Amino acid sequence: MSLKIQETFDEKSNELILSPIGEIDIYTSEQFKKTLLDNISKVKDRIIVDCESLEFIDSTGLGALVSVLKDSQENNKEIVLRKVKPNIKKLLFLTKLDEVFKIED
Amino acid sequence: MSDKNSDNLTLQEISEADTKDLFRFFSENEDKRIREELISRHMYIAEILSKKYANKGIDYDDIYQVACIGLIYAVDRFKVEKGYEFSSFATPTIIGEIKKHFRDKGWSIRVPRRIQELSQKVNVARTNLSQELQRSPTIEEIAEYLNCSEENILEVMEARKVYTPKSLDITYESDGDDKDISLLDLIGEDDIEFSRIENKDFIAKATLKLNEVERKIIEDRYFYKKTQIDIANDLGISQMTVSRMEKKIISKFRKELERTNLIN
Amino acid sequence: MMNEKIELIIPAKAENISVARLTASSIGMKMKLSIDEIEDIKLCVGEACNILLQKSNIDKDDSIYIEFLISEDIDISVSTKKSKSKKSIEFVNDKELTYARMILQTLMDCVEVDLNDDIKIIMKKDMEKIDE
Repeated sequence: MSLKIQETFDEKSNELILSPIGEIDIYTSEQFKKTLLDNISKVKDRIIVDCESLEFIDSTGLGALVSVLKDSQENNKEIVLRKVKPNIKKLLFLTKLDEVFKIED
Repeated sequence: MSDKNSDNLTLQEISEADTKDLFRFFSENEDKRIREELISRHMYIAEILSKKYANKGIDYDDIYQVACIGLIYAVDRFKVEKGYEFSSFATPTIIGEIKKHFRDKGWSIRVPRRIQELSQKVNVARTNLSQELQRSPTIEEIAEYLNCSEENILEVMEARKVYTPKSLDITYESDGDDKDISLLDLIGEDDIEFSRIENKDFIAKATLKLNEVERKIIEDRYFYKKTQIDIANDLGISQMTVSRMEKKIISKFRKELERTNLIN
Repeated sequence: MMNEKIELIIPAKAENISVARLTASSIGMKMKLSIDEIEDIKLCVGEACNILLQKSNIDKDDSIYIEFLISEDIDISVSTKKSKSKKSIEFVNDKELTYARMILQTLMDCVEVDLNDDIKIIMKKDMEKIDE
């Protein structure tokens, strides 16, 4: 299974949005982590991960998110997860990461 | 959407609305449809918490029903203005309902049926033998009376101590303090290990301070949900010793918590 | 009540884990499980494979063996034959496995790590009783 990540900048809201399409698992999590890291350095305060087309994420994907967040926390940056699918919301709750990442509808 | 009037929302609008907005609308007019939508969106919380408490021998469906009731209470009582996340608010409410359920149902949830039945017979045997002998009967005597092995009787005795409604928590009695503080209350979780970033280091450090045997006891109790009897058998010690060691471990955790200022 | 064993052997590469997950989903559908249950099993099979790939000493020339035993419950075993030195998996103490462990322990009814000749992760899920 593959992962494609779209990078868009929303002029209106002044937000940098990453849209992962597909699955983030042990095969694609490195790619995801790298893209996150590259982009989070471009923003001042937060980066949006639009999860509308994110079908699946596992512990390696969560680990990638956490490690990027930890790195960027010294600079007070936020990772926002938007439009998270129900199965993934459940996973975030189970791993108690729903309080670590901002989750928006 | 936030400045929209909450009267007369269509079902479509409700299903598409932002969760925070929905909570606001709900507190304004208590629309049953909004309540339904909020509950349905957060069912995963009841599901996961139920799975964490359900075990072999404990009926998941039972707990899930209770958890859903807790979820409904939480939805009714949640105030968005306070700024908390709903899942943080709902979790203690739901866990509270689950624990209450265990207490009410008593040991019928965790004890094997045969032990429960034998326990009743032991009571009768004890009464009869006490009258006959004019003293408390020994385990041997009870066993003979009931025509079963001493091990069975011991099992029942142990079960009574271990499978009390409070066995879901382990109670730590602090000196001179009436409050019973359970391990779960101290740690505030249903697992002894949690991944919240700020607590990861604490748990790692606290566990390091335990010796190998103590660590095994905690692992067995909380990850593998073994009884004190099982652990005692594994280690070749008595259940009493396991129980005493657990108390010691809890006090070690408490000291570590105080040191890291995680409790007031 | 049917009693079936379904086995899958895949080369131990990250790109193949999605195959294992898909197989798990198909089996879940065959057993007519609910969508939630299928998701749970799919995720957990993936996690068990992740643990082996990350923590045992297998490489891409080795294989991961996945066995599904279907009856009233599903028993799943995910294992690998270890070649050279025995490298045991510290399932409980390893911080890196925190999320994988939370997932497995919450969603499966029973999880065990067996370190005999091979490294084996065994999981079991009782099927939810559906009133028909």
